Amino acid sequence: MDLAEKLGVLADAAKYDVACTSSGIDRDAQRGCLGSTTSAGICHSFTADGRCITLLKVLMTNACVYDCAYCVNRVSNEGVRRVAFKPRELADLTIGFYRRNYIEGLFLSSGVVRNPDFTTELMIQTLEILRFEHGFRGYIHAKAVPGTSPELIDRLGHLADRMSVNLELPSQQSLALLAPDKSRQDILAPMRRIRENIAEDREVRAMMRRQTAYLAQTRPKRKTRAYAPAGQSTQMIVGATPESDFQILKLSGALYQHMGLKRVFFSAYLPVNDDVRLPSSDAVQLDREHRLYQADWLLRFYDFNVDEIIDADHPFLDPYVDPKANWALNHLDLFPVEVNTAPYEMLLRVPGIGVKGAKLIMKARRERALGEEELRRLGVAYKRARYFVTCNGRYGGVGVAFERDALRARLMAPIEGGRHGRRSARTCEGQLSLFEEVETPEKARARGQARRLDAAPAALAEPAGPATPERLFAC
Amino acid sequence: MLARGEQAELFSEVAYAYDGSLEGLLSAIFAAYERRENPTDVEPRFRLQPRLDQRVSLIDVNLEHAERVRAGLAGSCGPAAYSAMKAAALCSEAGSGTAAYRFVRYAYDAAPSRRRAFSDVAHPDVAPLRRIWKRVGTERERMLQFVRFEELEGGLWFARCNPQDSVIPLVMDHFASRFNTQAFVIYDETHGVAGVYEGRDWYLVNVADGGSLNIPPATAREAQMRAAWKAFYRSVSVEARYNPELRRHFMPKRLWRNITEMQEDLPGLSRKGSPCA
Ligand code: SF4
Repeated sequence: MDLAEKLGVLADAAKYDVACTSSGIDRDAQRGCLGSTTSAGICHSFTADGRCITLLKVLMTNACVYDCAYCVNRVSNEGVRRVAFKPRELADLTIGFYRRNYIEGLFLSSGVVRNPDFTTELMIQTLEILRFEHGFRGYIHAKAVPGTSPELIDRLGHLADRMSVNLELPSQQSLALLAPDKSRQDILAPMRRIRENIAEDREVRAMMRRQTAYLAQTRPKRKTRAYAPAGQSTQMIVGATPESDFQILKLSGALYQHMGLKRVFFSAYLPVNDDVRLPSSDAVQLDREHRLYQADWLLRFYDFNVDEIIDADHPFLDPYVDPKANWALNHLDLFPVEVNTAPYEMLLRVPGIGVKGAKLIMKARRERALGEEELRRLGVAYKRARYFVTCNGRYGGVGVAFERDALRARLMAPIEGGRHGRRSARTCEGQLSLFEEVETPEKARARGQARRLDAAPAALAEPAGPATPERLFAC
Repeated sequence: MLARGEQAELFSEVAYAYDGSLEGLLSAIFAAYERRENPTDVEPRFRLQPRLDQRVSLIDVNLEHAERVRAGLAGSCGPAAYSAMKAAALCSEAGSGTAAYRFVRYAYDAAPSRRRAFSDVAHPDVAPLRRIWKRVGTERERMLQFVRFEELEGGLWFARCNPQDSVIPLVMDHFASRFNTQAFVIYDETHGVAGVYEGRDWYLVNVADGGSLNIPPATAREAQMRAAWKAFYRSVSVEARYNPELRRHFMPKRLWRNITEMQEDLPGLSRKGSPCA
């Protein structure tokens, strides 16, 4: 099998991992070494579904001894061809891509070969070749396999910029049901270990900096790499199990707070296997994923806390208005605000004004009083903002009653998801059935019948897959 | 031809035509102050389309004048404003030189504070320059993203690109520090400019006619790498999420012909433009 083919298989198997950023760390180039990182990250290409490609995202191998229900690589999928990279082969490929400006670095994950420790050793070997032989200073994201021993987690973290352990599913019951080989403990232990290592590493570094200012001779001889300087992230699958948005957001809020995570990624469940434990609709809950990300954004950049966005009585996010607009509609007594005097925190809460817009408003209003024209020029979505602001005392939303329902009608915005793909919005609720199997291209591939994206979609209509025991049981 | 004096009476307005360089633009601004004129257009020669009532005045580059304007601007209006002037000189959009000139006029003659003039984002003389600044910044970013290098015989790395604005000078630092000892050339086929880095410093070369561009063949490994990259690109798409509109938004089609993984998706693209065809 040639390199391109092998890469195709191992990238295909890794693509369902949505976490793919090269951001969070600035590292200048160094004479004689290859590469640098920029804190904003750089997208080097975009997939046909419009997602950013920034890292070479591959698996070390797609062979796996575990049997997670939702995963293509699970051991019970016998139709899948298993391949593996040798550490040197993968390191050289990464360098080759990097020199051509195809990528910012490497995102390395793996199926579990033999056991978690053996798998992690292979990953460490690869990263050591990259960092020490090639002097590679680009970005590396390494995924810790649940159940890896703490010593190996420590070594891996010193080679990587970002570490992640996938939470996989939002509750323990779901995990036990769909990923029986992974326990909550297996996942949380490395996560905690990474958090501690990052904190400790920071402390030691800060201490060293303080000391060396006075005692130059105590400077360490060999500079050790920082421990995962771009932090830690995780990912969970949304829509494979019955957890509500409320539970999911509560959980991610807690992860930000207690685990010090940089990002929590959500991945809309995509049916790749036929399995009675999984929902059998072929709908992909992309709209739900989208709303969850909007809510997550509010948590991270807009100083919202979870309770403001969602509560146990309304455990799902409104599919028709975004969570920020929803908050504003529930707090009409605080609006309208005067753009020329409102504090920054309040501007941030106006629908149609983003972080950039709010900052520009703060800057611009020092020079002149802002009116509608100026707001538009500053990149504010005035069409939405007008109902919630006054400009020099003038209210822009005249003509629409200032009450919840009327304003909600104005703010409703269908999610612009393009005209293709299987978005959940397209399937009506009654279609979700537990007793019918639905055929999807991903399932075909999991059985080893590959189909390319641009090929004719005729394959969609083909009758359901072979009669596995699970299927027979289901019917 | 009319004599100069009569000309001035006949034409009510004046347009300045500079050579298209940053130094030219700065010289033109200097000239406007020195001659106590207020040109309605300040544009590169190749772009200027004078209106009927306009007299055209050709401005020669004067490095000393340019340096005085540069120092004054960077000092009193701040580095951001100066970087926007640079962007205006590199921008291909009609009116970008004029926008830069109008900003200087505003900052020096009318603004309450020069230092904060560029922050007056909503002012009609500032907003256009800021927009150009942003546009050129976006194009620069796109080049950081989409420039694709190939390895040529002899150890040179070569990239061909077609940015809408002439942003090569703005990306050389980034690639030079990133690739470090790796020598490379980035060739902008739209503007006939090549950025050359030989492992220590970089410089620009004008290759307007394309004649002086002599590209050795690609290495044997190159084809393998391209194939691997294309295989990777194809397999990372999630079919259920297919959304080509979104992809075109992030990766405009006009750039596809120089993006390795997109080339085969462009029907009728002649591959003779690429050195490793
Ligand atoms: S551990 Fe589970 S999710 Fe990971 S590759 Fe194996 S089967 Fe898939």
